[in-house]
Amino acid sequence: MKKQYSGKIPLHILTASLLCVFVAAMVVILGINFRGMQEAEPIYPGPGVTGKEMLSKYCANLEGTAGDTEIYILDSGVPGASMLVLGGTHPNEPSGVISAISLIETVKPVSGVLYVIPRANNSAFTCNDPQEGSPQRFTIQTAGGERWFRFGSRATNPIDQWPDSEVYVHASSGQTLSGSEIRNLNRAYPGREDGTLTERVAYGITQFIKQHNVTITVDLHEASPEYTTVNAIVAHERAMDLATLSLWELEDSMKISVEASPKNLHGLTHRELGDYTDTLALLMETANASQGRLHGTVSAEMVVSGQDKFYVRAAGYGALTVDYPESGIGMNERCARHITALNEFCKSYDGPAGVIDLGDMPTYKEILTNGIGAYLASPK
Amino acid sequence: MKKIFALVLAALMLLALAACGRQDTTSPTGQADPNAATQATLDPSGTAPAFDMQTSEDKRIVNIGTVDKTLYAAPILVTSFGQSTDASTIDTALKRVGGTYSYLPQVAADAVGSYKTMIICVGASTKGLGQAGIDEKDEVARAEAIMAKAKETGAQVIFVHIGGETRRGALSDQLADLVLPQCSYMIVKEDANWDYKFTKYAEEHSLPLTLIFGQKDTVQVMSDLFSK
Repeated sequence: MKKQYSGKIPLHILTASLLCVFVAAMVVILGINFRGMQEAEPIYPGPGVTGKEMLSKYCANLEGTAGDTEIYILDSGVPGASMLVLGGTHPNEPSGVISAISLIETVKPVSGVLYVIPRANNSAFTCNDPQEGSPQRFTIQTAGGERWFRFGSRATNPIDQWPDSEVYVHASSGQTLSGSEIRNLNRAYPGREDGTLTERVAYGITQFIKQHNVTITVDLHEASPEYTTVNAIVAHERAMDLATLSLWELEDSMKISVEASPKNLHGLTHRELGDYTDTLALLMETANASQGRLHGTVSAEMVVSGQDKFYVRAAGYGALTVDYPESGIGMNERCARHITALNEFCKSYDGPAGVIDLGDMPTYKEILTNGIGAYLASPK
Repeated sequence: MKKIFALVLAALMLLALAACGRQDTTSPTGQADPNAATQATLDPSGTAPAFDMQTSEDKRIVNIGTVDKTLYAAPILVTSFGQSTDASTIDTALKRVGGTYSYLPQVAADAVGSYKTMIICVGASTKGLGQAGIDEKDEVARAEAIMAKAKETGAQVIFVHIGGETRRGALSDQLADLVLPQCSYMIVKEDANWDYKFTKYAEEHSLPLTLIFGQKDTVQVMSDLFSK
């Protein structure tokens, strides 16, 4: 005999309502969580910072958008060459961001000017790559306590730039790439003033370099340990001598190579900034397991420690292009590579723009020994 | 039954929500690889074994045998086989030394007839080949043609391999094997000699060999070779 529900609300309505409430609650919780990504990590300008501008000054179409981002100026007051450092072109490659922030917080140039854009693709810091299970933030211990930093996406947040086209056609070259690359800042250079948000960011950076006649531009990245261009300096042909001279001073501390910027791969900083401006365009790659396809869980700890048992196993099979010890390739080593190389680019430059001297900089060994946290400000 | 069915559907719906956005990623590194076919393949034998280095930070250059400097007359060509930046390194080193030479990393065989000395820098790079717009097959063909021309003209060939361990690989070794039989002097960054390929070859063929610890040592080697 069939049982009858005796309540006033029919059972199927009640069940459906409860499910709707549950789903709505999930949407609200996840929405709040997603919106929380828009909070940027604090940056504490150090004694060398003499000014700050917004990128929208160089591309008015960025004003009020998620693409607008901060440019820190560290002017020694002594005429000389200049260097622009880009962190966060890909906010899921955190050693570039941390190195850039470290410069802002600790460097005091002695001659020339240092410019730093720590969050080059600001919008991409506000989301994660789908299906990667990436952390939204990670922490680093500093002398005065723990600080948190954002772990973002490789590409502009789709909330800010949508939809992707089926095929991405690079504006100035006509090169075609998969549609999702339309939100990749490092495929958007030299950019367009009235283009997509990502193209406008690229345009702003290109204009900044032109207006300030920036001598050297370095874009900081990370790559998977199985990738062929890793632990490398990628150089535009005009920057090849600078890269080579720098490598000569770096090679005793670390395994590193110089690679030529392909002329047929468009939209990247080391190609387009070299072609469209007078800057000496360089790009640095360190090895990060969270970038690859062989890793296990990408946790906040793994992003910092660089430890992953699957990569250790892959190294045993000779499947990687870099040494991968059980201790991993940690943030300290990755930042040490970036910061040491940046200092070496300045020291090796002997062109007509004059001298750029970053002053008292830590050595590779000092960063490894003391940890990158020693070269970040304490939380306030 | 209906309740169970509804719960299963609800669970499936939640799973679908959690899985939304799955997509095949392209390059996770932000860099397109113009020649993915040359990426490392799984090799259960592991990475390069440890070996006894003759060079060190303190003893950066080791000369094995005696180099006859009089062989290397002008005009001098610096070129690349494999389009790595190693030829560019020699270019930078020679600029420091103040040598007179032509730096033509992609020179064609029909343009090398007048050179009495060829400094051939061997090292394959996918990015470099991409930069030059050359595929592997064409690069090997160019190398074969240049070596044939060198044989025809009697040009002296200096073999240079300064990319180290990371620049060893199938294509680099193929290109090296084209150059070695015609060279009269070898310059090698020693970590590339992890299987003793180059020291064995020099010994077997009584060739002078200079082992260097780092790329910056090329400045001293070029200075020793070409300074008057």
